[in-house]
Amino acid sequence: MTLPPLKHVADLAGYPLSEADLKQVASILEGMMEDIQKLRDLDLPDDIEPILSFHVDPWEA
Amino acid sequence: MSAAEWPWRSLADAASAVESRAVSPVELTQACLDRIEKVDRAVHAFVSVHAEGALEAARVAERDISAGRYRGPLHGIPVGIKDNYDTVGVPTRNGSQVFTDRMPSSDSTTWALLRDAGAVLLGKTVMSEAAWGVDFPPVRNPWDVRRNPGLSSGGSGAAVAAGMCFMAMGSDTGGSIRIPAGLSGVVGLKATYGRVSKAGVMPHTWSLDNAGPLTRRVEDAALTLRVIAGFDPRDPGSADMPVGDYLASLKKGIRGLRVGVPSEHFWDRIESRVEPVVRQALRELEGAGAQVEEVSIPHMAGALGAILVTEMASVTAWHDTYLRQPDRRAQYTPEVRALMDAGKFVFATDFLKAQRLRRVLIDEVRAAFAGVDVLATPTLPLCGWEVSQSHVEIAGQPEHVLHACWRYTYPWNLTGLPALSVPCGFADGLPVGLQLVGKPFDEATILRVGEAYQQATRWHEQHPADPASSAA
Repeated sequence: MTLPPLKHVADLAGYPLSEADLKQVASILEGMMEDIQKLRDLDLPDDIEPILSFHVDPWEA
Repeated sequence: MSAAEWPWRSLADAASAVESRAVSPVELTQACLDRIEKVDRAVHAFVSVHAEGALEAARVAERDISAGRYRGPLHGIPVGIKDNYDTVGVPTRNGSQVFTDRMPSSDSTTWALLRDAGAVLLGKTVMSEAAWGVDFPPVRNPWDVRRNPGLSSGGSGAAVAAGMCFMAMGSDTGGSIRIPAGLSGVVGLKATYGRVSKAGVMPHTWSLDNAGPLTRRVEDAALTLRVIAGFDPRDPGSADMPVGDYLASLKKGIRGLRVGVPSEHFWDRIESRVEPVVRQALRELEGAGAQVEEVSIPHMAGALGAILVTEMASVTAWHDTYLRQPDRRAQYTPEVRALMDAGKFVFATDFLKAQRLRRVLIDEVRAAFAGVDVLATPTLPLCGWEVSQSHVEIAGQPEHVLHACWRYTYPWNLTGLPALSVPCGFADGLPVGLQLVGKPFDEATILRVGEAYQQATRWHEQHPADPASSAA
């Protein structure tokens, strides 16, 4: 992973990081990408909704 | 029994002795403090020890018990608490320089329940920075002080393994109760997600975090769970489910009980010295009367990406307030700061895919449970690694220690199921753990299986040589 594109993404996202920080981030992302790609490649049924913790409780009067 | 022998006894034994006044809480507390004084210079399990406060709490417990106000099995029992549980009057630092001066204004629910049950707080146990990263603190494994005692609850596991307390609380997001339990030769219990309140425990990953105990015996974990389990309106993830009597069925044995062994994932890339120990443990379960059979959970092998993006995004979201403050940002170690920065680059689409996969996994695990009562796996594919190692080689493949040690534990965080690690033997003198997994809110059955295993094998009665004498 080259730094200029990552720096560009970081700047666009509003996370300005130093070159030293970006180098470490790039190294971590490279280490994760194989497993994240496996996740992306999974073919899940269309009707599977994500599990998110959100409960609506009735309001007290 | 001499005072020096007490720290090696079980919490249950100590509780019986306290109730019958064969030993006093002050004697137990002083014995633990003496043990800490003797061995913690080599183990470094405690970030802070509160001797005066502990002795005062023990004196109060002693007076109450003498006056007939015995509160139950935790009354007068000295315990340790991980450094991410809020405790009024005692700093809670989350293992981080960012929170060095943090003094909680209220107790975590779990500590409040333990305190109200009469437990005596010895001190806070060391954890890895913000329960994240691999730049471990200098906690050492009591079985070999050159080695690591496990991930973020390593201080709690080491404190229990070295006989410095009767129980220590840990927290578990991807395995951080069960991993130190497995590596340090103690019992670690992660209950069903929501069973134990995490209110007042500094968050790591909201949808994966669990609070739970590390003990020397399964019965001790059951006794503790009975105190800390239950609905808590302070915790949005808390489950409003009936709490069982975990002791009622504990000693009923496992004759006829069905144990499923997943055929995928849990036997991949496992150290050749670890696998036979766990296979033998499965035979011992059969010997105790259980029926052991294979089950299938096909998507388990692809779940690592799911927990990675879930944890990375969640940790960064919580810490972002501090990461944006230059003075606070500088207080994170470079390694942990980089992990948190990397979390900013997790895409929402990947995060949501991960949460969808969790639903698929739950369905597959439910199907696997159709014909069995519990699942059994190794707790880890490896034994404690040397503290200087960042990578290990398993089955010829190099692997980062963080990835290696949580491969078999994180599936039960993704699915929220209860899981228990019990000591099941040794490989080259280092502890090996057997992981037992139950149906949602069925902690009673995994505790029952663990207790039957301990009664059949008695690995839990072994403890390490005095670490101070083997310090490298």
